Amino acid sequence: MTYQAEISRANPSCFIFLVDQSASMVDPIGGSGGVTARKHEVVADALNRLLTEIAIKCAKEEGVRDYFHVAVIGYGARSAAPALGGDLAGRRLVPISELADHPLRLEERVKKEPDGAGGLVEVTTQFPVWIEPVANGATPMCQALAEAKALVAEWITQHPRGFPPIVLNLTDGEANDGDPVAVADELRLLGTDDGEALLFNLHVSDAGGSPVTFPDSDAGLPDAYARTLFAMSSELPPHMQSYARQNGYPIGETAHGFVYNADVVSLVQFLDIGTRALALR
Amino acid sequence: MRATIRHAPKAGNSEAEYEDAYRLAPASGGSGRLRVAVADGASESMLAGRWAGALAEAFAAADGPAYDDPAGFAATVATAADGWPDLVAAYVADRDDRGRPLRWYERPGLAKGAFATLLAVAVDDGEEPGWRAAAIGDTCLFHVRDGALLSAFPVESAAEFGTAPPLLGTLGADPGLIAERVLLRSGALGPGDVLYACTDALAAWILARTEDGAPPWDVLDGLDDAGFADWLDAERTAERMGNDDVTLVRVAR
Repeated sequence: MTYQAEISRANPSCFIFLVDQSASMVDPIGGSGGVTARKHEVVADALNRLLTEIAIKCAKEEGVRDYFHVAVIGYGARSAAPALGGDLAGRRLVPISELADHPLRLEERVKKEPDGAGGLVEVTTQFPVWIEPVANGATPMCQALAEAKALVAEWITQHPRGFPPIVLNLTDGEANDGDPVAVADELRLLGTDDGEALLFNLHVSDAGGSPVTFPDSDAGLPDAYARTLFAMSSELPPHMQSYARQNGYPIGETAHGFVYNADVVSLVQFLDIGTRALALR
Repeated sequence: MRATIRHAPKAGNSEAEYEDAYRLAPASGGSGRLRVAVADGASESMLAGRWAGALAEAFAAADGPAYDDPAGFAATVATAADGWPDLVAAYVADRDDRGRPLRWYERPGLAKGAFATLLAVAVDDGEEPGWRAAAIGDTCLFHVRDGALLSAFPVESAAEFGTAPPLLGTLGADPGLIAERVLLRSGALGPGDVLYACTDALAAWILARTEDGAPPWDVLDGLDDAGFADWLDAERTAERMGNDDVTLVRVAR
């Protein structure tokens, strides 16, 4: 059985995020037509929320437990390089506890929540920010994937029996340093006793069309960039498929870790670190 | 009746990180009537061990209806949940006092509340010896006679265990829903019968052994505290048992 290894402090896993920071990322999602969200803002927000969810998932009474180590690699004008800032600047893999304690800043955000009496009440929550939107220069995606491959290779040498590393690439897909499929294939061939490394892609695009989440095939994807990123993406392992269905995604047996112009943060909930905190239904 | 207790945290965790809980009333176990409550705090929730403790405490202190009536069970859960806001407030105040105020990543978990499974068993060794049990989740009771499993409750096969068992939460628990979901069972006790109450990893191991035709009772009965820890290590290392907090309460007539 693969993808069954315990994720714990003694047997941690790792997340490697690749974030496209190239000039094309400044374009708005969905083209013109009054849509204001720009791709670099969308990926920065998705990444900050992913990191937030991972930290919260690992939080216990006396702090965040290091079930995961996390790297964020940005690719754009500075080629592919560690993208965390502040106290974590220049670092590659960082234990999640350290990441949780060192965001660039905590923003106060006001959310409306049910007040229990049929109305809504405004609640202020803290939203950590590690990554700012950046859009500058070319798109060296192959270099970023090669960097991820090197990190994965190093990790699996140290954790040969652990849950395999997960690489999530957040991009508009417009690589201009070669064909990323070959290096993606090499990356996915690396693995531990528990399975091959998982490569997932969040595609943010101005090509329009309907959002797509964890599709079985590339039929219906709007362009060649989307089809390439789909081809690079690992299939979701069976237990992740099962959690995806529990989370309301009507996915098929060959669902791929590919999301087009849609939310990817729920991915964190597809990982097991112990008994889930779910209310009685 | 004689009660024996074994417990251990996950491998790699400290005793303070153990998030199961058990309570016996009377605590000595040496009476004709005994109540046993075993709870398992869900590892993804905050203060899960304290919630497991509060539930076990409430059931050990409760009388008959908590064990054989859905509404009585739900009312006892509500007793435990009623005390939860004070418990959280005390925890937050203690963190402040220690100069370690809550961090941003702890608040969502605290707001969501804690979750736990629960098994509550009332054993009567009087004129009509028997047991009554109530459960939400996968903390299990096994009734054994002459080395044979008579009853497994509420989970009956090793394949049924997973990471999303039904759980009791601290917040917004609907007594009607709890009463609808709680499972109840009872049994008559014969001379020499033994009851084992245990949390999920050990329960899954017991059922897997039983399904393999290798009754586990002699193995469990032969372990003292130190032997239990060594045996757990070996079973976990051999991947015959999941790495989880383990609690076992054995009650023999």
